[in-house]
Amino acid sequence: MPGGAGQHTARLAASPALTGGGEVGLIALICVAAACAAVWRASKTNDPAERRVIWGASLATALVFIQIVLVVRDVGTARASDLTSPDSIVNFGFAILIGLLVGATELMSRYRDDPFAPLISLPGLFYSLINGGASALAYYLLRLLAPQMSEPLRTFTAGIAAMTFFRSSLFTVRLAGNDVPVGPNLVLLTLLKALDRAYDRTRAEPRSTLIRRIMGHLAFDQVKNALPALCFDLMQNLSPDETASINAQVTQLSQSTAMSDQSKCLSLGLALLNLVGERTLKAAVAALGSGARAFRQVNDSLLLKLATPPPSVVLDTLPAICEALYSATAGDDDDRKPLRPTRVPDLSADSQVVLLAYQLVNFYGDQLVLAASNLVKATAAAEPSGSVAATGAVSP
Amino acid sequence: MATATSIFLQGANAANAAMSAPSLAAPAPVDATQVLAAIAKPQVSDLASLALALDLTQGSVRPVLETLCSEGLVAAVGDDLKLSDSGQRALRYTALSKIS
Repeated sequence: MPGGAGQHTARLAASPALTGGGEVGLIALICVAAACAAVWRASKTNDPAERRVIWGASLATALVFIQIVLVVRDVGTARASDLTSPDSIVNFGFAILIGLLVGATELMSRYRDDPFAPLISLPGLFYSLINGGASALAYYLLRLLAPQMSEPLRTFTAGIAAMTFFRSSLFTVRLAGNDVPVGPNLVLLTLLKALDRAYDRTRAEPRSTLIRRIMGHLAFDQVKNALPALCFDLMQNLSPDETASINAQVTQLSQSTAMSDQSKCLSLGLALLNLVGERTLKAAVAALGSGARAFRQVNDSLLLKLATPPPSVVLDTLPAICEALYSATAGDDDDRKPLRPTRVPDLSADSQVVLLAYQLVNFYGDQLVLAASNLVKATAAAEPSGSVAATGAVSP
Repeated sequence: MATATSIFLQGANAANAAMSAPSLAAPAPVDATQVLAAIAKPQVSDLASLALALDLTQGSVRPVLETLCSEGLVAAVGDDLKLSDSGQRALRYTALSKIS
């Protein structure tokens, strides 16, 4: 194929720096070494986000490697004008890479907490491949319809034109008060929305587990100002719009009376996670230290209920009842183990009951412990007087 | 740049504010712990002295007192009021849980 991108690269390759099979071997060696380093690094890290970045980078490197090998193989090979000639494959490869790059950039901008994660997900790969396929189709059509166009102009035109075509609209329709652009973009937009939603759903579960682990033990009032401020300071390139949106959310969460303190913490954590990512959020929470931990005060109504049965009955039965109630209300995927309260034998019986109340309320929440205390009270009232330790002595 | 959560919270907060708008000023509820603490004082022996000690009307104290009696925290013999063992324990528990 006269004047092709392959020929262009052949001219480059004819220079002393890139002259033939030896270079292919060298590139292959470098790529294998890079792949080994990536696999070693991925096996060493426990951070899933870092692992995704490594695998994503490896995948991109592999694609570039294939393209380089195709280019170098093209050097000195007999060129034919058919589509299966090495020259054509190289040009197809360049056009596909442009499409993949545009698709990948689009996906990366949508998931700010972990930009590389969608690239190695099935929906993300599918979306990138569709973009790559569109560029390949454009290149094929250009070869047929504009054979006089020279390379590398044809390759770049194919790559860019396909992306422009699938993102253009012909006219605007007003639907339910919204302006909807209609054109070839509708195909890609619909596809992007569907894949976006599919990927979003797969991310929801691990994000929920992650945010519960990072933020579940914090007190909203303690962190609502300090944590965003610390995250903003740790990051160096946040825009005023982004920080303003978090501040607005903090204000609204503070005003909310219908959400529990823990729900507010999780919501704030998710907002920050989207903005600063997992590692920064974890670092900021760690930097805040134990002062940010939630501490629930035991309310008097619970203590009055716990006072009716003797302390020994409370200490012996309340943890088990709380555990049973917790098991009954825990979801299928709730992997948190029930609490095994710590007893301090040197404390008085009264102090042991109050300590137990603190431990249970901070682990299970007020409502569950209150319900359990009702059962303890009813059990103690139903027991014959001789069967409970009426003296209030704590059983060993 | 409003996030989906911000938009939702804006609506939810407005709705909650509308629903929880006060209609009539309700009298402040009597705290059961305060009643127990008052009964523990030597000068309180019946409902009248209890209401006086709490600076409340007998009508507002009576429901709380009845609840405490039914819970077994207060023993009422005739008009005389006395903390039961459970009541004394309840006072000790609440004292232990006070942070400040």
